[in-house]
Amino acid sequence: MTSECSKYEQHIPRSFVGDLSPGEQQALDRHLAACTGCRAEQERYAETMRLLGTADDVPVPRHFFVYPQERSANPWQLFRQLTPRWQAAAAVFAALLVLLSVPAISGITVRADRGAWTLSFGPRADAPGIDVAALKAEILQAAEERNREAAISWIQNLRAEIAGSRNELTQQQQIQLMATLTTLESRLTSRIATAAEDVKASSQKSDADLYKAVSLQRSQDLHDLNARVDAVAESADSHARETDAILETLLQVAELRIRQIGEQK
Amino acid sequence: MDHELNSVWGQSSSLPCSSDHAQEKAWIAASQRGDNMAFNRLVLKWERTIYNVAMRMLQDRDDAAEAAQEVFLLAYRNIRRFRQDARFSTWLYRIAINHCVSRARRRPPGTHIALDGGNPSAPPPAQLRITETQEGELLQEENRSRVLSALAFLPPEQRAVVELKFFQELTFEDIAAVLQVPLSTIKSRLYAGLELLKVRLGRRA
Repeated sequence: MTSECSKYEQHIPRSFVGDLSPGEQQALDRHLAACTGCRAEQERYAETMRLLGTADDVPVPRHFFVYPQERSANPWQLFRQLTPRWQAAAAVFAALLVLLSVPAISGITVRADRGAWTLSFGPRADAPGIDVAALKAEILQAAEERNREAAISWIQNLRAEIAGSRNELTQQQQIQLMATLTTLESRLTSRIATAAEDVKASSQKSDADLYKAVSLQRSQDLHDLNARVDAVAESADSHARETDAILETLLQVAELRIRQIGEQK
Repeated sequence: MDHELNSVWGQSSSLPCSSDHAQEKAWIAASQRGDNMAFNRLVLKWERTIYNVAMRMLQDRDDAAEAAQEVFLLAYRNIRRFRQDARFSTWLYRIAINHCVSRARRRPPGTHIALDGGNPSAPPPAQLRITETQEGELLQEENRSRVLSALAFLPPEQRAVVELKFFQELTFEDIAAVLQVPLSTIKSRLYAGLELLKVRLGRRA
């Protein structure tokens, strides 16, 4: 066996399956004619091929049939039977189902709040409740307080002016003036009460909207509430100005009456 | 029985090539529309080939019959995925080889070889009836057993290439298409397999 034999030994099986070029085949034939060792190797391959030929086909032991009910398969087999386009659609649907069901099962909450995304785990905590009735009462109390202070201030000023001119008045005139002031004070109190009722009615009317706004955006609600407080205060101021005008007129009437009384005397 | 069945199905299993190919395409199209009878005509045409592929891959008659049934069932369930521009034989060989390789991997090499098992009361294979002498029959069967035993010692991938090259007589390109591996891999598997077969079969030469 020569050093070339190892190369030709690789060519021997290739020659049996027609995997050699004509030149390679001729070179192999020449080598086999001269090399007994490689010829023996070729004979072993030839015997192998001959034996392989004996294992040819045999008749089937039975016929193989399929039945319509066998077409049904498990979900994975059904998925594999789909066309690639439908497989992609089914995969997307399944992924969506998983994405939606995982938060539902695990209690994950994803929330968008004015551009900010919030991811929370576990059961959702309820927002702290807002006592709307207390808030409304506080607003009404503030408005009433402002009305009352303004009215008292005006009454005090009026009393001070009357006290300043007391020396010039007779007792009867003072009694009449005090009666007039008492009537005025009574009317003023009544007017304040009416204004408070108006504020209360206005607040009740907007209860639903107020509650909705508070639930959705807390900071916006506070802003709205401040605006309402300002509006109520403005209303109270308006009532106070009206009261001023009435008092002014009454004072003018009172002075005119006092002068007439003085002239009659 | 073959003759009876062929008359029942109205089709011989060895048709001339041109009409055979057209007929096969028609059966495939009908099968893809859900025609179960058309698919069974395909089965009848290919059952001998697929059974013998399984027989040489698995070296056991019962295993081979079971594997052949499973191969046709797989083909039946996936027939809608088959594209008519491909060759049905390539597609069916791929299913059969993949299934047999998968079954062969599940058992150690050289085991479960039951070449002469089966029902003792069954009539001898038709092939034996056509041999001229009793000695010839015995020698033929002995050689066949030797080949199947030797094949059992090949890795399933090498066995598949030997099967497709020597018994199905496919070209290297067709084998690469069936197994979906590069041509160089096909050749290396074939020559490695032949080397092993030569050691086991060429010893008496």
